[in-house]
Amino acid sequence: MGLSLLAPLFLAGLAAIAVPIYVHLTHRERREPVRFPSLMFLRRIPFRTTKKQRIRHWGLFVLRVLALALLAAAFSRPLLDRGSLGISVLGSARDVVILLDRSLSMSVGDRWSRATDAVADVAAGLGEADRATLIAYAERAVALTERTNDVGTLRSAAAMLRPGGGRTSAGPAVRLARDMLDPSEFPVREVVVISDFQEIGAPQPDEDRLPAGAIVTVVDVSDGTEPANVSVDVVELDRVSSNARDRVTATARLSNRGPAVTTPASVELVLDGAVVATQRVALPAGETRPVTLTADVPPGRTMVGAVRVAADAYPADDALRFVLEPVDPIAVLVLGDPQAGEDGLYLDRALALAEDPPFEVTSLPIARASAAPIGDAEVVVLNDVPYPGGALGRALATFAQGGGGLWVVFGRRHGAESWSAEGVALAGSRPGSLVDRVAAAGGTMSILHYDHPLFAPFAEPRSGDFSSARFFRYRVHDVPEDAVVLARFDDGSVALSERPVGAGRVVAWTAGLANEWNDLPIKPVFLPFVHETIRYLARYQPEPAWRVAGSVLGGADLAAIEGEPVLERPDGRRTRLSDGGPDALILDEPGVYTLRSLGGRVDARAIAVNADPRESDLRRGDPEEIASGMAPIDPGAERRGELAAALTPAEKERRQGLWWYLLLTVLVLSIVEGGLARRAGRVAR
Amino acid sequence: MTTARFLDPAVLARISNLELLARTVVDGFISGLHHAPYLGFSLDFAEHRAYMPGDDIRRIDWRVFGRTDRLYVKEFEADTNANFSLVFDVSRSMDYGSGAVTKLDYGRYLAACLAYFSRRQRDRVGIVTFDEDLVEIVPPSAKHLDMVLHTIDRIVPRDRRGGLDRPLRKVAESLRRRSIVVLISDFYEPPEVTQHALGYLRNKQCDVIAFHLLDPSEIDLPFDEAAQFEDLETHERIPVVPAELRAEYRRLVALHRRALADTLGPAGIDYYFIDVSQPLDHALLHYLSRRSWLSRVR
Repeated sequence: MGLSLLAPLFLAGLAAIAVPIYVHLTHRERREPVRFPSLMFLRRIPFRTTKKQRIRHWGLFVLRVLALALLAAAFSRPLLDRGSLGISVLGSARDVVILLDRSLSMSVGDRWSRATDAVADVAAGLGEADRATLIAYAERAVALTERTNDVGTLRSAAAMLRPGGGRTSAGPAVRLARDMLDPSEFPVREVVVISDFQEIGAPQPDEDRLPAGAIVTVVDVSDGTEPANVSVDVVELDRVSSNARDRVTATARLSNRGPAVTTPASVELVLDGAVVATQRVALPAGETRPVTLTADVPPGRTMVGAVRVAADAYPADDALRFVLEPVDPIAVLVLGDPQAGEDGLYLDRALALAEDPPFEVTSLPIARASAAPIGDAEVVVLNDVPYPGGALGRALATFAQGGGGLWVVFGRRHGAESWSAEGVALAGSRPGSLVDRVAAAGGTMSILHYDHPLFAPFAEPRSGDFSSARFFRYRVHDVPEDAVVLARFDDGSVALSERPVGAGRVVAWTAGLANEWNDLPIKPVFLPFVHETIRYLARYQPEPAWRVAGSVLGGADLAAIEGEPVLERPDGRRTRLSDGGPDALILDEPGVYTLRSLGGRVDARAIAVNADPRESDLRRGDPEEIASGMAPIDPGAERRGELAAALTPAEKERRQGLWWYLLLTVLVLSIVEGGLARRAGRVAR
Repeated sequence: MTTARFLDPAVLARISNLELLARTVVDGFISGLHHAPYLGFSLDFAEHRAYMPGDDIRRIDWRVFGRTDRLYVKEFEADTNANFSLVFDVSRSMDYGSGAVTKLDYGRYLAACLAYFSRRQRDRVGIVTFDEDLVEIVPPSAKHLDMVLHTIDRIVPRDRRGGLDRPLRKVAESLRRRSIVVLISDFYEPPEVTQHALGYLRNKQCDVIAFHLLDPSEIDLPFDEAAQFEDLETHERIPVVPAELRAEYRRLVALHRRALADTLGPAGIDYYFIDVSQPLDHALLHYLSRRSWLSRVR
């Protein structure tokens, strides 16, 4: 049994004890002199100053100090951690965890009002010793209250909540409930699940379960019917610049998840609030169909748009919002050898075929190159040409140092002898000797760094086969220590390496890009390989046209904002995301967010957030089956413990009410002190 | 109402008539001492002796002559016509009391009782009041009881310092014959000064009884708060922290009382200390015992 305090800061009031100490140590002189028959004897006694005085009236002093100490102790709300107290008073108390589903599907019909009513019912059913915790869950779970038996707290917590944009996932909720109930020492532990019990939200078989002894109670707020629901699941956007206008093609996938065939309804493409294209479509029940909508829009403008269908019983998925960014091609400068002839054909064709984003390619013989086009480019390719010296070489170095991407391709035409000192400094070393593997029918690229962003798109099976390409010749490249080898041939020689230079990147390819030293250019993987290399060198990071509700906004998103970032939600609320606010935010509400710097609107960036398309599947699962997936494997096992340990300190303090006794004692002490003080005063006079 | 209650100073303070007070106290006190060994000390018969020529024939006990046919003369123990002088300190320091009565009041009651009592013994009673000098003098006389009581009744504290040497010297000079002198004072003088002053009376062959009156507050110094203490006579002020000085003060007072007793006793002066919160019977009893002793030794 230990004594603890609910508000220990009030113990600072103990400093008031100094007052009676001061009063009792300092013998104040009466203003009126004491008339005394003779000072004959008093004069004979040496005078003593008050500094030498000791505490007088020990009884009064102790009473006053005790009263002050008890007063401070009463305000600090003491409580005793007595295990026996709780269990003796509350033998069968329940520790209830209310799991309230706040996924998007709960916005259908009156599901949400029924859910909050259910929370109120559970709260009203709590006994004196029972405690309940409200947890809201969708794809994440959050405890909204602490353990309490205050009906008002639970009801208000539920009333302030609204369905979010996330999808149903019981797993996190079960884990949180388990974490709360597992250490609980209440005799009875219960989980009340209030949900519409979508089939997609059922816990997976391998997910965590509630602790042994926990009872699961389900409250189904769905009406058991599946409402008519046509959803826009996904939209693929294609924006092509043509003359003075951009052509936007939006291909939307519509699904009829309702039980009935829909009558032909209009599908609209909305850009910046205006309907720019419409199409009528009829969807049989359970079917999915693509719909393509096309419109011409002004070039170079970011637009907020949506593909939407007519509102139905589940309006949250009737529109898919997106942000349509303008076409922004990557500027690529290819410097080649004027004598190369057709050697650059494959590279040129591959660059010309880029669409997402397109490449704006400029090919120049290196002899005619100057610093001007280098400054306009994002990526420069030295295609089998020696690294230039002089002003051009310095311009290239400056370009790379400043953040540009340089792709150095070693080929048959130029070896180590043709490289300038600037080139060696930039690439780290000269191209080495020629490796001829013609006799061995060529080598292969056998070691690829798939974790690297450049090769990451090829990591999945059937996403790019580099092993089919044969490499007959390549140059030896001794990479410097600060370079990273991204790919090697089967003999260990370096095929592709990257070296950071200042803020830029230099990638070296040792086998040429012509169909002479290898047959890679005629392999399917050549095209994406070239595109990915250019994108990587240009640091191309496409902004998603929309995000799914539940995505996290932070990091790179905020770094792009100059100044203090502020996020404006679809409902107009604003959140500062730097000093004093969170450094990341969950985009849990479908709609269009606006991210801008504090006080500025120029750099405002729109972020479209849509409901998780999986949440559009309103098929109802079996509540009992879902509950059994949460319930402990061994439901018969029970644990009983001391309830007091599970009570919160505030509850223990409220239950014990020691401060009342302390205040009562202070009152009694004050009365006694008053009597003693009067008596002492009479004696003094 | 019991007699003992009339001996309580607080009760006596309600009686405005001093003679009535004295009579009430003394008569009640005497009746209460009915079986005490001090009864009949002054007029009591002592012995018979054979008649000698020259003896006053009025003292012949004729009843004894009738029974024995011999002449015998009655002898009595004491002189019943002694001078009884009250010497009362009326200095400002006597006007102090923490309880119902001041030292002056208590001394007034005591003096009245003693005067009345002495008159009953056919003594000639007189009174002298003094502070640093004589204030009022009523010479001892058999007819002066009323004057003595009147003088006692009119006593007011004088705003003057007290002293023993000068007034007692004058008192001694004024005494014409051997007297019983009762001195009532608070004796705020060094013991040797007191002894010297009382020596004037002793040199006149007077029987001196010194009643030392002190208030309980003067004995215990029960004050609590630190304060300026002002001397009633000199108006001098000194800062005093009673809690700190109390023990030493008590020791000094006790030492003073002991010194008075030690110096006056050997000088033939009867010293009796009185706490004015105590009933009068202690003082009266002491006086009676002393008077009885004086009667025997004379």
